[in-house]
Amino acid sequence: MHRYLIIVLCFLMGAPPLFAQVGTSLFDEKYTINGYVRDQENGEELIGATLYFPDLEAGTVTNVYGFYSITLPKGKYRLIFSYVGYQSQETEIDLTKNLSLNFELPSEATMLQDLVIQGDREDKNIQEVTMSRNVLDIEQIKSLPALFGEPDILKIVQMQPGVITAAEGTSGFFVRGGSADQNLVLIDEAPVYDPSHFFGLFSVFNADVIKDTELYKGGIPANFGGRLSSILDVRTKDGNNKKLAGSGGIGTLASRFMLEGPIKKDESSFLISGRRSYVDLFLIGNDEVNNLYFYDANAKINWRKNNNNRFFVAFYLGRDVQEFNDDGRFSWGNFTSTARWNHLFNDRLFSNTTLIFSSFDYGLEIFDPIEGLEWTAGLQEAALKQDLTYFINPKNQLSFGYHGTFRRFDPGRIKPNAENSIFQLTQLDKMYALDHAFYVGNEQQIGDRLTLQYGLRLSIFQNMGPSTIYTYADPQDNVTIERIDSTQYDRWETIKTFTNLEPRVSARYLVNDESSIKASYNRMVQNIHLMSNATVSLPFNTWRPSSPYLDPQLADQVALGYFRNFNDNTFEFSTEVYYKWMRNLTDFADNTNVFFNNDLAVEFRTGTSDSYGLELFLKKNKGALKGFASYTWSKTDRLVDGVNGSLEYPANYDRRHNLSLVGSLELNDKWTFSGNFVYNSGRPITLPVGRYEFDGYNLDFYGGRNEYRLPAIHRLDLSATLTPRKNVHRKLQTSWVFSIYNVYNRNNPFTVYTRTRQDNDGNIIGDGTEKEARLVSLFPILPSITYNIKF
Amino acid sequence: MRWILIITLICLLACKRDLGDDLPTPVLRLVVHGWVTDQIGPYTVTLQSTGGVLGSPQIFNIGNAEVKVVDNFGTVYDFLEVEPGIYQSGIEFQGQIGAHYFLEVIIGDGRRYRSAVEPLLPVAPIEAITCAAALGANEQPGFNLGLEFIDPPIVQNQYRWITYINGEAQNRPLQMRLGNDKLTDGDRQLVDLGFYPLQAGDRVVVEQRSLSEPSFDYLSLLITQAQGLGNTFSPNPGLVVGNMYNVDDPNEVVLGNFGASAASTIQLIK
Repeated sequence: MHRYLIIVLCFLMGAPPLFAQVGTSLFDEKYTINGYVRDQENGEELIGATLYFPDLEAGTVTNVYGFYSITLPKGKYRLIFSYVGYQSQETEIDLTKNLSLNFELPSEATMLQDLVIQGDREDKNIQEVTMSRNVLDIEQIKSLPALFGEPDILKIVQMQPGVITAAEGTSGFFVRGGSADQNLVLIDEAPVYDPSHFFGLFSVFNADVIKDTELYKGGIPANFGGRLSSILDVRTKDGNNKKLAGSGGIGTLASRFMLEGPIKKDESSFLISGRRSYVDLFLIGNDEVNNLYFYDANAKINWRKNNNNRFFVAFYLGRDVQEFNDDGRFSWGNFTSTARWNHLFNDRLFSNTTLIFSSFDYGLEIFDPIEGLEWTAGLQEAALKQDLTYFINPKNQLSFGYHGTFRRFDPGRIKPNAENSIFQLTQLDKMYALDHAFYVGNEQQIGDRLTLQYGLRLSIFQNMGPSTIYTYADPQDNVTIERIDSTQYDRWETIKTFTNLEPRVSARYLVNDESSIKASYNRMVQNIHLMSNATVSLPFNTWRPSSPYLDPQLADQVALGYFRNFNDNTFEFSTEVYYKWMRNLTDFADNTNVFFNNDLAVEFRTGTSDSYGLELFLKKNKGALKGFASYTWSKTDRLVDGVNGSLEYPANYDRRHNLSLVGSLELNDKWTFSGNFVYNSGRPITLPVGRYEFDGYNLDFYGGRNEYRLPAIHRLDLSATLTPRKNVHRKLQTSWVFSIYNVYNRNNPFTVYTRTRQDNDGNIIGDGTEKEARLVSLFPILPSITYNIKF
Repeated sequence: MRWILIITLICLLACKRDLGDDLPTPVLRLVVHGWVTDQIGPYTVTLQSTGGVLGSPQIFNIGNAEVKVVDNFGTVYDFLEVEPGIYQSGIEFQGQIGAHYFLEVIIGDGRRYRSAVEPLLPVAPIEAITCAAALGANEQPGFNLGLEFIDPPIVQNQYRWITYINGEAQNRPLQMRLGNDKLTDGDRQLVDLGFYPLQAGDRVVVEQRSLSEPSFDYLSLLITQAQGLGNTFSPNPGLVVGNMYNVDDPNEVVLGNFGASAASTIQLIK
């Protein structure tokens, strides 16, 4: 480990002289041009916009804050800047000194007929070094058929190659053999610990406020870390700084609104949005259930002090509440806040400083004079991120930084809420951790065809006090748990430190103008662990830090891909194969008690997992018909000592074949038709394989873990979007989305259970010893209508 | 735990249908249950196969086996088949506190099975049985039964309590009761035996049995699985394996358990 540290330190310490050399002697006749690329209509920065200098055959793209910087030899050049869905522009640059230039692009929707559209190639997928990444088209998501008419980015994430759904209709997703807790879901850089409403049926993201969504499945750059399998980076709009604008929708399940506008034109802006479900209104009068709803809200303020300093403050708040008659109340939710400062130290050194707070909690109340209780649990984290990008020259872009995070884990507290409650005030031991990450990475172009992206991330994770760590007679015995000793740690006292180095390497070789080959290797480390034995997303989950009984999870992944575009980039095709092997994964011993257990340390077991697969992706970008097809063949096995007789078994989310077809046909400016079809092989499940007698009573006995597979899921959804013809004098634009979910009404399996055989009225058939298996399906055919407005 | 019902809200939209026979093929295993106590015998060992999951289980009994219990002095006690699959000891065999026993079974095809060695541990006497009027599910009138005893200090003790109503053991999963003195060593113990809709004249007998630690673990898992599966909070289901094994093929999965207990009883006539 010391050897690695020395290499990193040498690299970091050696970097400044290198920069000095680059800035003075080697490039004396070179100048830097930098600035932002924005949407002409609303002033939003455009992420990933391309700037291309055809005379030099050199270019760059804007970063996630819309910023670009490139250093070129002195001279006059043509510059083409472009972005998908926007009209490309061309201008001439006379580079005789350092320049700061901001560009604004008109969207295709607002372009005038007499302007000529640049015919540059939209071949970013071929050119860029990044692989195993999917960028989601939020506008297309809004037009696709959705469950209850509620557009949901996570449902589209599930259709990407390499991504598997937990169960039909739910928002949980599994990436390349990783479990759900191995996905880092970010909203404006703040982690969201439970990204779903209604027990996973809908995501917490309001489609109206999303600006950009990227999913990294492999080849993950060094600035990301903390989870093994994926990064879902969701960024919200900054707010329109040109004029007041808004949008909203009234759907079958929920309604939403978004309002944005300038605080000071071209300088500062705001955005607020809200969403509220109203299933509870339909349930009024129902004796059994009288309240069930969710809400969420986003707010953001954005201030451009000048070209060198920009400030953002963003908030997200979301909550689900279920009130069960007069008996109980259950709620859970997330709160995140992000304060961000973009600063330009000089023409080539871009800085992003971020303060983050994120909180997830759930609570349960039972209103009962005897069994009354209030149960609360949660997790909070506060983080500081300092990210720097140094645009050395057109062939090198260096990124480095530090991320520090403090986490507080509160696994549970029970408090009696009635005078005669049988429960006593009980607090499970809280846990604390301090997480440091230092990273450095460079994207380097070598010759015309080869580009490398390489980096290192150093993770130092400290499990801290105050805490009591118990010693068990047998840490592998979760039946007769016996504590034999305990050690008390004071506040800020380090219990155990885990240090890991994460190398990341990606390479792109340009075969020709239309195709490239890419390869990547990355190691990821995860120091927080979700203690859940559920397959579907449930908010009752407990997170724990790496600790004396729980080592960090590690994953190594290699991927190889071929990328090819056809018909002047009308079609994008890619295929990737990957192999991922993971260590120290947690799983539970058979017959584990996960809930409100202060001795979870003896319940989980650690093991390994191997996952490999083939992914195919075809996307049509242009024309009236747009869409994509994705297919994944994958296999994920686990081997955990003490589970399943220490034999290998399929992971809960191991599905062999996954096919998604998504398409939108813009028939005319009034009607757009969309549809998607999904097919997923059945997921594994543990079912009884027989019965036997014990004291005259029949008990089930179980075979191997996940030995049985549910039937496959397949479903067709259709939608039609009606946009009444525009009245050019009218500011308000409206549209109707008519959707049908599960068009051919297939009973897709959610789970299977066995019960004593009975008729439809619940009367037991026979002598009560006969059993039957029942398959549970969640969603039959579901039509919905959504009315959208925009101004 | 009525709050679990909250989770069932998700089922508002759910539809359910029979899966028919589309379930795993039943796996046949040998199931051995045997218990020796310090009470007067005869003791019983049952040999059965596992049955199918769906419909009637079609469990069949395994006859013509050679069954014997051996104690730590080398004394062999033969069990004779009195009904198909049911084997009983002779009247000369009565378990002794402090002795150790194991079970050996040879079935018709020659396969040989043996249990781990089980100690017959002493058990404390029951001091009192309690009976309090209560209302059960759907306001059904009845009684909450309980018992009291003093746990012997210093030594580790595991218990099982079996309630008999008019001679019939109440062994449904929710009626099974186990306990240990891990947190209450040497204290007076109050055991909740559960609700029973007793009638006047009903005869209640409660038996308190000592258990070895492995047998306690086995029964704990069995009861957890029998009581707990089927809801969101269920533990991961798994194979519950007792202390029987195939002498020649340790990888063969054998279900059931052989145990030894001292027993104390108390009686109540309602």
